[in-house]
Amino acid sequence: MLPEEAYKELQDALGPENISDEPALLDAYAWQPAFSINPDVWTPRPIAVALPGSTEDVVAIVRICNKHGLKYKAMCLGWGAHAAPGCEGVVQIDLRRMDRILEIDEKNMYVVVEPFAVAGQINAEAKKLGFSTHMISAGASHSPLASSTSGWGCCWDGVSMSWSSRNVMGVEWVLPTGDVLRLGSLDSGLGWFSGDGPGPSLRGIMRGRGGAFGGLGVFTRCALKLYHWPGPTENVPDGLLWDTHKELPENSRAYIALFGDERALADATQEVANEGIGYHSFGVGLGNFLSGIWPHLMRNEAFRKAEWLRKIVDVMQFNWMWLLCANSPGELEFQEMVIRKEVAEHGGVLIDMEQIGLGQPLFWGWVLGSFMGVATRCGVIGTMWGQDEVQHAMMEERVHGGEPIKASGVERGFVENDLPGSGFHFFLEEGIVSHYEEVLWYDHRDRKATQGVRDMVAEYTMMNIDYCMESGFVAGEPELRTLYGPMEHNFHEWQKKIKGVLDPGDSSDPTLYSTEQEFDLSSLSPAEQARARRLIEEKRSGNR
Amino acid sequence: MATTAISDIRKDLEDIVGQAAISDDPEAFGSYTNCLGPVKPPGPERPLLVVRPADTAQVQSLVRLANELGLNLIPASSGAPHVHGGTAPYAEGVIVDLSSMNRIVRMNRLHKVAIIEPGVTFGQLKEEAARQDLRPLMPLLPRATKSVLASYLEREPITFPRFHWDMTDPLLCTELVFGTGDLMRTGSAAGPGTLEQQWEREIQQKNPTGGPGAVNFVQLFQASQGTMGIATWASIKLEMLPKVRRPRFVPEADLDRLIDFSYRMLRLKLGDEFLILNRFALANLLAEDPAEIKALAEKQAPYTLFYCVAGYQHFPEKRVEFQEHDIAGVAQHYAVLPRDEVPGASAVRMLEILDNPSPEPYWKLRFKGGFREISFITTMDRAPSFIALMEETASSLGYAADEVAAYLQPMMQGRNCHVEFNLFYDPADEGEAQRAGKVFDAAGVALSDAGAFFSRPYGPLSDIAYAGCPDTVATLRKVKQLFDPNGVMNRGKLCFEEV
Repeated sequence: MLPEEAYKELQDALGPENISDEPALLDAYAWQPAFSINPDVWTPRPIAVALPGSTEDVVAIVRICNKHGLKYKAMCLGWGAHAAPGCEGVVQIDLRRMDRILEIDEKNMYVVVEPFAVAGQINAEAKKLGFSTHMISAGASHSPLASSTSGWGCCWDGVSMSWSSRNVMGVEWVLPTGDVLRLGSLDSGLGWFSGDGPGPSLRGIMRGRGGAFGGLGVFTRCALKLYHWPGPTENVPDGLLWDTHKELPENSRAYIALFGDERALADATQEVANEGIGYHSFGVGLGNFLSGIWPHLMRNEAFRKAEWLRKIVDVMQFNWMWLLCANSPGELEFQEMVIRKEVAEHGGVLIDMEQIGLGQPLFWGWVLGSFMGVATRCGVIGTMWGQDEVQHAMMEERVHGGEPIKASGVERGFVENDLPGSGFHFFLEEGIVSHYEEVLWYDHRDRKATQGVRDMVAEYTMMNIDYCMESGFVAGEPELRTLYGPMEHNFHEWQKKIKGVLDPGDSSDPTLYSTEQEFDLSSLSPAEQARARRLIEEKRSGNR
Repeated sequence: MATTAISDIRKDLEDIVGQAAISDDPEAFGSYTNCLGPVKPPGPERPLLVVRPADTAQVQSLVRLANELGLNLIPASSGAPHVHGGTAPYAEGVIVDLSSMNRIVRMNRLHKVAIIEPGVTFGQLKEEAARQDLRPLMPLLPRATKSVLASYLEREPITFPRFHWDMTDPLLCTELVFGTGDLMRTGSAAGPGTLEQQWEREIQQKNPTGGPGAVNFVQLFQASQGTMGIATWASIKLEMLPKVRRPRFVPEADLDRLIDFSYRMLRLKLGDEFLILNRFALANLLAEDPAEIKALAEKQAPYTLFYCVAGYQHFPEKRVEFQEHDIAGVAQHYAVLPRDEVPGASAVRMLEILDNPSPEPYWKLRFKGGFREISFITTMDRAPSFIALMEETASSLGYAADEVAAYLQPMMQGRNCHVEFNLFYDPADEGEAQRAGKVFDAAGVALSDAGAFFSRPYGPLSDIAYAGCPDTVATLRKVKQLFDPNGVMNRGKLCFEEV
């Protein structure tokens, strides 16, 4: 319950229309099921929702919360449970009024945005000037500011457009105390072109592999890198999804290669990536893809049991796609020569997707980030993934670790049968590493499903540890942080120390940054539990 | 520490590194304190001792001992001559010389990565990498004794903006000993598991996004001048050794035109090596004796862009061919003319120079034996105004404007730019040395006032840099307090005088 005095102060600061503690409205904010490993249906209900319109408004909210001993949690697009309060008694700061694209610097290739500037909107404006922005796998409807400052942040375009964490330049940051810190050149009043220095870069406390998920204040503006887009400045296709019609840009192609095994795929794709090839470079599970488009069909028992379909999926298991957007015919020719050579040398089959009529929907679906808009059609989305590492390490983990767990989850009826065989998989920064992720679709209202997903996460976590990988949710989930911390030089203790000096009042919702919780192994069988404990102890002792 | 006798300190240090790895030779001290660049007044303290640890465990023990005794540790990885003053003690202390930790621990061709210790130099790395058809990403003619790890930790710009995605590049994962003595491995090297266990799982310690968890410890260590702790190894990005290379000069009187051309080239990721030099900087790279430098400078265009396109493992000729074709179109649009040579050197010769560390003496010492370097970050379009200001400042203080060497290094694929000026003087000529010092001091203030961002400030420039960003200073001090609560790491550097 928000104290009356605090409510009045927030009302005075923001205007009465921008603060609410209406129960029905608060419940809407507590329905944040995606990307949750918590079996509970609801996230904690906020005690109020505040809608700031400016950095000054955010400062006012943060100071009022500090004054009254309240916690707060900022959200942008609200793509999942990580955007919601992690504990009771939290004021939800909904940043939807701060939605502007403030500046596009064409020469120096960056855009300055507010929290609720949406990826699709930024991308559309950027493309008018011949640029693209990195768009994470949430697609066009995510907040690039949130992804860059506070979340995770990678996707199919990573091969040419990096990660969210590495695309951020200058940042405006309302610290947990309400003080405003500007990172890099911005703090010296010199603009957005550097987020680092003078001296040590404070980007290092803003985030690591993952962000603080609202645990270290509120980010109100940031500069993000733009990348060259050689295609047209007008990019609205006719139709939707598979029905999309629009010619591919000049010097562009959409290819898919099918390989016989994981080693051939890893070797060939790495060689191609090492030549800096690909606007997008990725592999995707066929069923995973289709289930977003035909959810009812995919749930149809007869369809799922169709043997011919399983065979197609098996054939497609080791697939890789390249969307090529070359700057010239010569560059395109070179890229195609390399791809053809590597695919042939590794026994693969290369298909030009335009030759079978699928080039246009595939190309535009990914480039415009529109496919992920249908992600929730077959249920709430959850994922399981390890850290990003070189292609060969990810392939090992995927084939021998992740996929069997996913298949078992389908078998046990926890998650939808999207014909598992692979999740999604892509390169970053011209092949420096790759990312692999198992996608789960399930009914979040079904306790069996949510508990089942939690069980799968436990199994997946143990597999990750066995494969010497940090779990994707380590940045975020308290129990994974508690589990992994002693295996990784007690980084969780350092996060608590950083939290202590930046947020002495512990006002910025600490749940996903600095709280701890024992990891629950109870869903595993006694034998699996014993093995898990041995594994954890082994990895912890190797870290001492 | 004042209460602990040197002999006792020495005994404690010997217990950690052994007698042979400790020195109190005053001549050895000079190589750390007599830096080529300016240090803050009143000048460096004389070190108490120099210790040379052999491994991470010894480094950790040294830092823990320093915490017990209140000892100031000054890390040094490169060999002499030191340029920026990072190894000059601002308070009494012990030099921790890491140069004997010089193993290349691992290298992988397909994944273009190496793990190196702090003492590995660019020459050593280049030779080893070439055996696997790889090459290091070099800064501009590093000193032969320059530590690769120190260079990358200091965010020194590399001459390859195309491969410079973010400011941590080419650094990937690291092993760090904090000022507390705690150990941290970062990025995907963090674990779980030992390095050997990770290698068994094909992990190559390549993830550059920081961590573990939600902290990027590497970013906190970069440009910290050893004030947060000591890095004991790092994984770094390498690139393919090209099979075909086609270097070109683009001489040009109009710097704005050259910069517009550069923006387009970098946007299209054309060119591997890519840098701009004014005529005097170019002459200092190409020629060896002072008279020759002067004469050669006069023959050059005011500014010269140097770039090289390359073909790697697949169809190298084809790759070079399309790039050359595309560049020709860009060059025509911006009315510039790429050439195979400039007076005094072919582009191939220039490439040979850039491929290697500087021959002795260090290239900045060739003209007069001494130099003052002043460098900062801005955007490329603003660089011409800073060059004009620098020349004006130099001229007003009696330093010949045409002897200011200017070097522009685009970074982060062209999104910002390192600007570096070098002022040469004869150290034996007191008047010249004083004049260069005065120009350095005046230019620091003038450039800062005009918007130069001293992102890795050394010596007196740190006061100028931090004066403009009190919020950053306040937060940095809090961070320093976490990682070095007893202030044992390189006291007095950056903005940490009061910590």
